[in-house]
Amino acid sequence: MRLAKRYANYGKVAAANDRAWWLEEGEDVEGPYDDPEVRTTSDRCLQGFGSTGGPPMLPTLYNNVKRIVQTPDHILILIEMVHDSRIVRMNSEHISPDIRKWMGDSIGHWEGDTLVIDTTNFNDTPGLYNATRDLHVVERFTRTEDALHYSFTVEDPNTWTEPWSGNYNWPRSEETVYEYACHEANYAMGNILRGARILEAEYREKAAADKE
Amino acid sequence: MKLFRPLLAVGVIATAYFSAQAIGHHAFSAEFDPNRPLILKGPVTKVEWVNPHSWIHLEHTNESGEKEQWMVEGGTPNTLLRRGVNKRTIKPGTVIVVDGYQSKDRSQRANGRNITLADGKKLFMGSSGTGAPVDGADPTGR
Repeated sequence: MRLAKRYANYGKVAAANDRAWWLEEGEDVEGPYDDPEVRTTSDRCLQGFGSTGGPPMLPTLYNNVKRIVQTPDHILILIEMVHDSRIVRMNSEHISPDIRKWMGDSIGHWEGDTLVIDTTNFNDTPGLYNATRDLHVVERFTRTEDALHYSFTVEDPNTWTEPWSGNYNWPRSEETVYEYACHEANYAMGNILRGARILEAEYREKAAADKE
Repeated sequence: MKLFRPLLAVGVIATAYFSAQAIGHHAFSAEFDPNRPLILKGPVTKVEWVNPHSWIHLEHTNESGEKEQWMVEGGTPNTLLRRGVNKRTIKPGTVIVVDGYQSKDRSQRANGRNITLADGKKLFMGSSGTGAPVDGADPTGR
């Protein structure tokens, strides 16, 4: 519920940036800037935004470079944004559904020349917008001449009435993968919370003045 | 095992994934005020080449002639590096003009859109697509 409320507020934030609109419902109602933990996981540097790390891994505004490392038993996908790493166990079973992870539990197998990764066991805040802990993602990677063709199918009965899919190419690149240590100097969080406190003070002042 | 070479780096060209959620590391509107555009001018005092965003500090002289210390948020170091901007591009002492938006906490902090150098050269600070107003600073902005 907390999450649903947070996202429901996004449109309002953009529309009414100049006043503490969240106090209109009362002082006791949880607002979107009450504390760091109600901010998005990207504000908090816990995950990249826009499902960059996913799964499914979607292209976002920047830092979209990935590095893939293979061993016989595992495949690692390093996602530059927020330096997330997905570790895929090959030919394995999913862990107990009691164990929940930010990026889910991923297992893989080969279907001919296509790598198939199946992911479940998400926590309450998957990277994919509007997804819930019941998210199930199947991803397929197929090598083409100059790229990896990436396709995915998403299921989550709590959010979508039926499964949906997408696909895009990951072009091969000689780019360096840089570290993205998001917590290094996350001044944004302090700025966001301080800004909200000022707007709240102004709102209360105005409300008091209107009463008189 | 036949599909990937070990350590294959795969770059995904950002096919501008704009949606309600394309908010950058943080939502522009959560931290900055689109109703408070500003222009700052003065010498750079410090460049913080840090994640998740770079910060450029400068000494701005206001209309009353007083000196103010401002810090301006730019794009991630990773993104700026790929655009050819690095820690040494703007050295302390360089006079710059910053086009940006003040933070909602009304402190001397701002989100930078553009930096203009003395020779007229412009450096785009990488705040597009984060929910910053489409103000013409970025020709690809929409």
